[in-house]
Order: sequence, then structure tokens, then C-alpha cells
Amino acid sequence: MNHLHSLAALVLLAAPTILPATRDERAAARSVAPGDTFEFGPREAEHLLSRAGFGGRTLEVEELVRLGLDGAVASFFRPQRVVDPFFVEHDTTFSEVRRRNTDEMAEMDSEQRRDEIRRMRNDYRRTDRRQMADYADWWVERMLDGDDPLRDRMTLFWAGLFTSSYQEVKSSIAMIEQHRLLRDGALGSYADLLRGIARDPAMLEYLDAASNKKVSPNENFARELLELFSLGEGHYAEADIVAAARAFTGWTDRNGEFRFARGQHDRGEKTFMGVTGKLDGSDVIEIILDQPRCADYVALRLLRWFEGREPSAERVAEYGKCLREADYEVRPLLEKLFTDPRFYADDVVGQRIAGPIDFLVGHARRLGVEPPARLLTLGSTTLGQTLFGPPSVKGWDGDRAWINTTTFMQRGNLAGVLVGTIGSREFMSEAATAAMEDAGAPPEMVEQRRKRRDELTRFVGQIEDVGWRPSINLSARAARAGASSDAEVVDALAQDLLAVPLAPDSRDELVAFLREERTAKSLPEDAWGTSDSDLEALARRLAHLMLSLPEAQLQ
Amino acid sequence: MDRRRFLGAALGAGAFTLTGSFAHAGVLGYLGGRRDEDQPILVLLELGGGNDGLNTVVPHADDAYHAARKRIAHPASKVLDLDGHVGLAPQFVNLRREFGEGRLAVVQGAGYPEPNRSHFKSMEVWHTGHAEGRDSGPGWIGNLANAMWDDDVDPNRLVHVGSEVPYSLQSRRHPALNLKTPENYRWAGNEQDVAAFEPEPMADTGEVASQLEFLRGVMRDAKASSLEVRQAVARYRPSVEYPSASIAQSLAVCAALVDSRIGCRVLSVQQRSYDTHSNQVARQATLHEELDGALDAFVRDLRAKGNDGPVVVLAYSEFGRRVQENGSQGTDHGTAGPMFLLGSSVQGGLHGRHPSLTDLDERGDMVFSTDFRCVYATVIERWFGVDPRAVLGDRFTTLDLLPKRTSR
Repeated sequence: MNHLHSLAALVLLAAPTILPATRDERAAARSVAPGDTFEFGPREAEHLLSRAGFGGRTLEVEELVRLGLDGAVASFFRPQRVVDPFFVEHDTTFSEVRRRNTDEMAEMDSEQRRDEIRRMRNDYRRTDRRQMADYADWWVERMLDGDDPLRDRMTLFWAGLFTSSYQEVKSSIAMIEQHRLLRDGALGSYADLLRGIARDPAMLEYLDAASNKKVSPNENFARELLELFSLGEGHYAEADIVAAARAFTGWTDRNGEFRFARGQHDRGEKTFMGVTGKLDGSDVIEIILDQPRCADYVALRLLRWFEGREPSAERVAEYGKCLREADYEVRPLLEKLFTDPRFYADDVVGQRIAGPIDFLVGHARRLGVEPPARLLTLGSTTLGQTLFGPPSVKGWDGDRAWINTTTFMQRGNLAGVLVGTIGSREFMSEAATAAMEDAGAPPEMVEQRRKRRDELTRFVGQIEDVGWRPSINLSARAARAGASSDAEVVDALAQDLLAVPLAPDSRDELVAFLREERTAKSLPEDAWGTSDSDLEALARRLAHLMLSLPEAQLQ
Repeated sequence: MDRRRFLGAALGAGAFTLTGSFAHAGVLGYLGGRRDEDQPILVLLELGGGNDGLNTVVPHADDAYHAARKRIAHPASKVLDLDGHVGLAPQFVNLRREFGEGRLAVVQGAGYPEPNRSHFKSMEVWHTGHAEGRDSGPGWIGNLANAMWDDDVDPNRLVHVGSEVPYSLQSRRHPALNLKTPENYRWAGNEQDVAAFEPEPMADTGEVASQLEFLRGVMRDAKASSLEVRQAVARYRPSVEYPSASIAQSLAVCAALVDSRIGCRVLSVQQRSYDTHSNQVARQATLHEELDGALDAFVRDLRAKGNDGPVVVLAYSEFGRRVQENGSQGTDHGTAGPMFLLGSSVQGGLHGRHPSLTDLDERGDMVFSTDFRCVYATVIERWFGVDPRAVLGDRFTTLDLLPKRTSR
């Protein structure tokens, strides 16, 4: 793991220069509640690292504490390393592929041509799906590496606000372009992102812009623009949707570029949010940005995202004001939030249910393992979060909706793969089909099930084939923390791996587990840190068990 | 033997217990009292995205239908006629058969006052039975569970087969069990270690349950249901071959859960992608064909096993779509649409009247003729024997979709 390197960089880069505006704002925030200052200790640093980034090792937490609140917050606005952009190998559309092959196909009869087109389309789709999956892996690698964690955290936010899905858009390059728009502007201005997204080919495809024509407006984009991207339900009238749809007629895309189809645009007079005129799409966007509600809505979404709970109306107003005054630049809002005592309150810290990406990337980082990114992208899909594939235009529901009995157990299982206690054999189908056999299922049914192993299980098998194993030594880690008794080992690992303290009964059970398993294998209590493979295996089982508990779902 | 090991051993022995004479009582029978064999079961089938009702139950004899949908109307000759005026879309061959045999009830023009055209808000209204949606409290099935079982909790009662549990099943006391692939419904590798954990409810603070408390509840339910559910599905041998579409596979799991009698009372499944703003005819045909095939396999399977008596399927969508087609051979969000009730106990036939296609609201959408909550009230009262007011908070007329409770 390059955490040590990035930490060194972090220390060097964290110059004491803080923007004056930031200081003023913080002073202003504190003057509202005088005396409401707080100490920036390990608890606060870990919280900041989990919420502004994707969590990290205890050492990173300690470094942030050393930087102090202002230095720590500032460090999140500086990349640790410049990363090359993803190399797009395949940036053609299917019609281009087809055009290139017209000569060849001219020789064929109609049936051959049909077969050839089908073959080409299937090839194209396969390559394209692979590129989308590679790109998702690239993004997860950014999160794992922690090169620019706040940018990636914010990109994930924007991708959940301005949703588009590869399932519908069916073009990896359009999705990648959209992601670049969101990632490049992730820490910039919401207004710019909104203007950009309204002309973004993937978004235009996703929300049927191509069919929004003067003679028969398609309201899909207009509705989601108001309901989900800018104002929120209940802050516009149905008539505003009709007017906005008309204003956006003719906004479409062609060959991956925004295109204004003049002939399809309705040049007539419209009344949108009380403004009457021959409005077009840009006018509608500027009118939206002029609504005080717009900044409040974005502030609401950001507070919910970072704090994991519903903010009070007063806080929405306070942060909405901050966003408005900064002309929709998000950085002042983020700086205000990360230095706000309420962000570090007891009902915020450790009270957010980690989403699948957070759970997997966060635990990989806290463990210090470097799994192949695809394990996390596929694992995240299993847990209900497919990058570039939100379930609907509303994005992911988040919070408690992430958790049900199925995903709760699967989270534990994926944690087992991360710590190396289970592999494809235990992970899914093998043992599961064995259970079917035990239960007396007929052999052909068991066989059928075995064949239907999902992509994740197959991948877990593949990473075993190439010999990936987590390079960790949890036993040494416990010893380094000064732990020797069973209880101390449990506490040390919990301190390292969990964001919240263990419930007393969970802790007792973990200590009992460790004592019994150690006794059963006749391992001494004080040999942690020696390179005894049985002890390390036991430490990993302990970590697996710990990460299967309710406490491991919280950040 | 210490507690951890004892629990692990008991867990391993579960397989034998289940195949023995206790199989039908369920491991958890003691928790929620007796699990009677033929308790009524509801299968909720959600058609997500806004199924276009007019191209589902087609008013083929209405000129206004063909006039509004020059490019996407089903030709009258292809529609599977029901009463000379409306008929089912051409793909519903098997549902048409069920209708002919009196097992399919079609409720026309279901909706609610001041319709919301947002997918999410409208779905919330359907999930809760309240105009305010989630702000009104639990989902309607959650309320039903509270009314039926109060504090008597059994995790197997409400089951969603699919990825995201719909809000209709939400409640604090009776969280729904969720499973996607039954054989993966387990802790891999450390199930015995996990078995030792008993996350009892923590001291009640009187406040909203903390996140940790919520997670402990989920872990309790997962522990209690995991083995039982897996066994139920593994042991099941369907009597028909289910199509490969995911909705059909979900219904196959439902059939197994019904057959196992482990106490499931409301099963939920979803079929998505009905948001046909463009190229509707082909897209909806695929979905309708999948739906027809899935329901056909399900009802035939239930009947062959003698499991059909206690099962009723209720199908709905968050809204119908606009009468007038749009410019991309699709339809935009609208209002009223049909609901379906399917099962051997159902009083089949057409219910309610079809909304007018010319007397429209200010947005050019149909005005609903039957409040969907009347259908809920019917299911609540006649199927589950609960006072609908206790669940829906208001009085709604019941419809003759199911026999009155006294006659069953």
C-alpha cells in the first residue's frame, strides 16, 4: 500500500496557508454558537477521513491529527499524486463500426449481411461492456489509492445526483465522458455542472432528449431536472415541467456530441417559474439557478450525503446561503461543513450506514489490503451498488435501504474474501450447492445451480488462480499495538478496523471466540507478533467475524 | 461443550431437524406460535416504471384510443377481447385463459385523487396508501403486519424476492426478509462463528432506533431465517418449468416458499423497465410476454401442488401513461391504470369501469374510476380478515374481487 508515501506527501503539501475566506466563514459559523469549539483528535480525524475520503489506517488518522483541523481539511483539497486519465481504447459508435465495414458487406447476400451485422453488434457490445467495467475498476482504484479522495467522494455524490445508467445509455465512451465532466468539476461549481449535464450526451440519451421535439415534447428530462437535479419535488408546478420540456426541445446529441436541432425547437412563448418569454434550455437553467430553493436543495443533498442523516431546516438554510453566496462553488460549503462542530457531533460520527463502495473500499483501506479493483466493483454490485448503473434516475436510496438480511450476510462474506479467510469454494456456490445436496435436491438441479455461478463467484475463483492473497499480518499489528491478552487483541483490531466501539456483548463474544479457538488449537496467549501461521489465521478469522457484525456497517 | 460450540452444532443439525417431522412447523415455529398450513398468502407484483395501462387492458372498441395512438395502438383484431369493449394486450394469452376460467380479476382505471406523475412520489403513494407517501409512516403491508401480529415477530412473514425491498413492506417491528439468490442466503465460511452472536435488542431509549440497533435487528433476522429459507428452496421441485426471465425465477422462489410453509404471508416481486417513453410497442411486448409466461408457470405450479388455494397475486404499477402517444413512439407519465388479482380464490371478471379517453383532466390524462385503496381494503378485509381502517387509516369501499370472509 502506498499510504506511507501519500502520507509523507500529505505532510509536505499541507502548507499552513488557509484561504482567508475560509477562516472568516468558520469564525462566522462559530460566532453563531460561541464556545461551541471542539478538539480535533483521533475520533474527529477518523471521521473526516471516512466521510471526506474513504477511510484509512490508524497511521493516517494520526497524521491528520498532527496537521490539526485546518491543515487536515486543506489536505483534502490537494491531490496526493497526479494520475493519468483512463486510456480510452474504444471510442467509436456502432454505426461507425458498421460504416467501416460497408465495402465488405456489399458482397454479401441479405442473409449473410444480417448475420454479419448481428455478429458485429455482439462484438461491439462485448468490447463496450468490457471498457465500461475497466473504467469502473479504474475509478475504484483511485478510491483505493487515495490519490484525491475528496474528489472521488464528491464524484460519487454527483454521480448519484446527476444519474445516468450504462444500461440505458449503452455507450461506455458517453458514460466515461460524463464521468470526466463530474470528476473534473467535482470540487468546482454546481452551476457549471448543471449547465454541463444539460448538454451531456449520456444524460441526453438517458432521459430521452432525442425524442423531445416541438410537435410532441418528451417531458422526461424536464421533470428529472426539476425534481431530482435542482429543486426537489414540491418546489415547482406541473405547468413548469411542460414549459421546461418545450424549452429543451431540440436539445439532443449526435455521435457523442451535443447538438441543437433547430428545426425541432419550440420557439414559442413559455412561462417557466413565473418568467415569460421565448425561453430555451439555457434560459430555463439560469432561471432555476436564480431560485433560492436551488442552493437549498443542493445543500440538503450534500448535508445528507456527508452526514448520513436528514438535516434540520435551519441547517439547510444556513448551508444553502453559503452555497448561494459562493455562487454555487462547493468548496466553501465543504470547508464550512468539515470545520462545523455539528459535523463531529455524536449523532453523526459513526452513525452512517456505509454504502457498498464505502464498505468495501473503506475496509480494504483500513485493513491495508490491495485487492484487485474488480473484486470491489463486482462485490459492490452484489451488495446493491453498481457503479454507472444506479437503479433509477433517483440514484441510490442509501442509508438503511442498503441493508437487508441478504446484503448483511453478503457483506460479511466479502469481508472474508478481503482478509483471505474464505475463497470461491466457501464463498458461494460450492458450499451452497453442497447444502442443496444435503437437503436432498436432485443432482441435475444442483448441477444447474452450479453452472449459474455469478460473475463475482467466478472472479473470486480467478483471483485465486492468479494467486492473489491479502498481504497483511494482523497478528503483528495487534502485537505492535501492545496487545497480548485475548481481550487486548480484540480491542486492538476493533480500534483499527471499526469506526464505532463494539457493543459490550459483541466484544465479549469476540473475546470468547478468540479464547476458545486459541485453546482448542493449543496456541499460547502471548505469542502475537511471532510469525506463527496458526495465530495469523486465527487473527484473520477474528477480523472476518468482526467485519460480519453490525458495528462494521457503520462509519 | 461451551455455548459457542453448542450453538454451532445445533445449527449444523438444523438440516436433519427440517427433514424430519418438524419440517412443516419450521424451526422458528415456537417464536410466533403455530404456523398454520393454509394461512392466506399475498403475492405483491410490482410493475415498476409506470406500465402503460391503455396498452395492457386495451379499450379496442373506443375510436378515441386508436385516434390518440396512431403509431402505438394495438390493432383491435390482435387484442384478446374480454367484454367487447376492452381486451388484454396480445401477449397475455395465458392470462386471458385464467380470465376465461374466472381466476383473474381486472380492476379498470385504478388511481387516486390529485395524481402525482413522479415515479418516486407516486410509488410512495401506492406503497403507503397515503397521499403524503413515506411521511405518513410505514408501508401498507408494514401497517398490516403491525395490525396482524403486533409485537409477535417472525422474520419469515414478509419476504421480498429481488434486490430492493419496496417501501410497502417497511415497518419498524416487522422488517421484510430479502433474498435474491436463495442458496447464497448465508454466511460463508463462518456461519458457526456468527451463530454464537445473539444481538439482543438493546435498552430502549424511546427515541428512533439507533443505526446500531437497526443493524442488530437485521442480523437477528438473518440468523433466524437463513437456514430455513435455504432449505425451503433447495428442497422444492417445481412441477412446471419456469421461464428464464428474472420475474419468472422470482416467482419460482415464491412457489417454493409457499410450499415449504415456513410462515411466509406476504411475498413481493418486481418486474421493472416499464418506463416506455420511446419505442414502446416492442419494449412493452417483451415485458408483457415475460409477465404472462411467469404468471402462467406460477399458477400452474401452485395448482399442480395443491398450493393455489391460499395464494392471491396482486399486480399494480405506480401510474398509467398519457392517453396521447408522444413523438418517439412511446408515452409519457400519466395517471390511472389497471390492477390485477389472480388466483383460484379470486372472483374473476372485469371490475370497475374504464375511464373515459376523451373526458380528461387538465393535463390530458384519464381520471381514475376506482381508488386503488379500495382494492387494498378488499385484500386487507376479505383476505387477511383485518379492519382496513386499522391499516389505511380511512374507510374505503371493498370490492367483490374476493369472497366475503364468512363464506370462506
